[in-house]
Amino acid sequence: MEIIDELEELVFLENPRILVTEWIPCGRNQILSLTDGLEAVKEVNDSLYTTTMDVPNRLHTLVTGPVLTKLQMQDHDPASYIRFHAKVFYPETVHQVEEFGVHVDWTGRIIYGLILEQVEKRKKRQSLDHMSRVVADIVLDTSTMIETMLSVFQRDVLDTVFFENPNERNKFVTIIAERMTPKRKSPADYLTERRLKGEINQVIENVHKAESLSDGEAVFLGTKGIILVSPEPTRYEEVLSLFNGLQALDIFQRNIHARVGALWDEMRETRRLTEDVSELDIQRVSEAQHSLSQMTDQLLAIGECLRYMEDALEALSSEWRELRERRAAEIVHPGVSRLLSLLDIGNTLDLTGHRTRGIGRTLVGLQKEVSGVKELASTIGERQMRHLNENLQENIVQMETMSRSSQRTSVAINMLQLILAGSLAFDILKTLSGDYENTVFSSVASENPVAWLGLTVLVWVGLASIFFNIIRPIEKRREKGLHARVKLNAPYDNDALKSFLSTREMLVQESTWDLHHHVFRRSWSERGEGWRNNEVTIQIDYDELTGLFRDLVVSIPAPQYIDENDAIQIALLDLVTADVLEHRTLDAFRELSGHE
Amino acid sequence: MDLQLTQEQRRLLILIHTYTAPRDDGSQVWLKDLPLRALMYDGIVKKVFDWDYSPTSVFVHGIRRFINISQEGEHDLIELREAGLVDKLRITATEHVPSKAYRSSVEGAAVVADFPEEDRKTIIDLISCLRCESAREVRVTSSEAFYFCKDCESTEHIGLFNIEDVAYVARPYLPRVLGVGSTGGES
Repeated sequence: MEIIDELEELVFLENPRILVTEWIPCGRNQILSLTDGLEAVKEVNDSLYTTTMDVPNRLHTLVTGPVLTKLQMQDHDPASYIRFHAKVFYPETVHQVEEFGVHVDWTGRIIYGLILEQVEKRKKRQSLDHMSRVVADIVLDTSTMIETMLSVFQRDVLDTVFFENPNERNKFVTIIAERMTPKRKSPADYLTERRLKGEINQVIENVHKAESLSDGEAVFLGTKGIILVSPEPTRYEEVLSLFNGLQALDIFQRNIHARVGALWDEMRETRRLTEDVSELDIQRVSEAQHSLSQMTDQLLAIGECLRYMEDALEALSSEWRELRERRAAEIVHPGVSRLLSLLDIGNTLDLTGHRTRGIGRTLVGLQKEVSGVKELASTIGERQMRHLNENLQENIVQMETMSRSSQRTSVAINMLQLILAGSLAFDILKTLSGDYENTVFSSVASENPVAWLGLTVLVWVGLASIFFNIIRPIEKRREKGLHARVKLNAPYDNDALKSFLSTREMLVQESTWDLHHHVFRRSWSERGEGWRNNEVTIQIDYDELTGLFRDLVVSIPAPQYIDENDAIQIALLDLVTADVLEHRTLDAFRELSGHE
Repeated sequence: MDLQLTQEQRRLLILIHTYTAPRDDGSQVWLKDLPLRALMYDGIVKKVFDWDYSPTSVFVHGIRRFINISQEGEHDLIELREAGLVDKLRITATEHVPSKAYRSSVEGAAVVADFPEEDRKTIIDLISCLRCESAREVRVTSSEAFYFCKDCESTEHIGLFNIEDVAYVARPYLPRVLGVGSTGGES
């Protein structure tokens, strides 16, 4: 999006350089792995980078989006630091040639530096209005660029500290320029003129100090950055690198502090929910336990960060000692000496150390609170299990009673059928004999009463047998519902599954969580020619965390022309066709079940 | 009171006062920080305020975001507070980051009555619904800002989060760093 406002450009900088610094927990191993990853020691030391993820599959080619970053190694010291040039090609609405230098060292300091050659076709003199927009663009683009080089731990830490939105994390900005216009007698004069101060605030925010360093040199200190004006800026580089590293650490520390505060709030809410939970609400306890597990992970990550911060502070203190010694030996330029006293690095180092320890203490308190609520949740969980067991036992006893009662009823019904058959047999014979008025039957009955009785019993038995033979198949058919289940534990495509499920009307949607699993259960009905006109209910279980499709269950209440293997095979075929499961899963099932 | 307010300051005070005038039931109304910034930005775009704006990183509902903020507007707000015309309230938000809210003070409400009609009309035009002319609310989520009219339920987008691109050319720069690797160990 291009600028829509008419900018009132008042302050200009000549030949500006921009340094954007951030702190991310690092270490010598991470630098070593970065050096290896970037193939720093090889002859051809440039590589292209993309954000596309490579997923294991059988394909021999890889399709990516546009290549977004090109890196070229400049310098490195294994396990200490690495310096490279990065050219980025991110999609923008206007023409940008972004190429910056990147310095990463084991203390966690990352400096992105660039010399601004041209802005909106204007060379040499750049307005602070334009530069504020360039800085925002660099802050965002450097987050995207460095992401491909971070370890899983570092990404987890950024996600935790920046509330799952690390791309827009704030960084410390330093602008170095050879000259500032319009000229004023003293740097402090810029702050007395409201409009000029507003312009400077656009880039470094809340400028609170404007001082001369030496002839023609000035520094402006803001809460989010610093502007240094000097025709010979290189002599300030080492001081600025130290100060920027310290400020970047400070920014990270502030964000950690905010995150710890947020975790306390979440903790309080989780405790309230856990204490208020009903003994019958198993889902709520499971949710609380899930939330506590997540918090434990986040606290561990923050705890690790604090240790990295302590190491970084120690390294920065060492840099500070070296600069102080040089200053005492009077081998630094007076401007550098003046800048060192203005930046108050020693005090900031002490303060940052105190704050790191303070966060550490808060963290210990929070960890204890998490343990306490975990125990509470687990006690409630155990109590719920005890209740559940008691209820289960009661239900089993009730079911046994019902089953016995049902058996008695069944025997009684059979007896009734028998008696009904006898009564019917007698009625039939009585009708045939015309109540002994039919001469043929009455004479047989009177002459051979035993034979007549035998005939009567025979008819009775015949009728009873017909009754039982009619009723049994009907009962059998009712009991014959098909219930086929297969345990797959096969990999699946989660996006394809979501798209597949979105076209079905769900009967059941459940999920269960623990530290290592996030299992979803979904159930829906289907009917159609594919299912040979059977009314089918399908139930699936899949685990999003492990990426495994666990169970497939097909139920058909009144199956016709279909058996268990057919049912599973049809369901699997549907899932394979929708790209949810791989074809080899279906092949494996066919092979095991003997179907082709 | 001898007040020398600029046109921007007058309009900003009217804007705050319009949303925070005391209610009949005695309850106090405050205009939240982010909606105020959205109004200030929209005022610049619609030529109500003669300020500049630039992208600035702030917490929006607990998440770091770049939004367009006017430093001159911030300065005028501070001047209004220094003159005792605007009260500021610091509140703890559920998003874990403390937030701020503003209202016109008793003195502020008194001076607004004497401001030129043209300033008042400009602000009323800014916040009025284009369809039904009712006064609109301003809502800011973590990714967008918009006017919302309760009466006709219409909305109008505010580009608070639209960070403008500038065309630029840059080449790499690596400053010297002292003592890297000189001491320290592995974490």
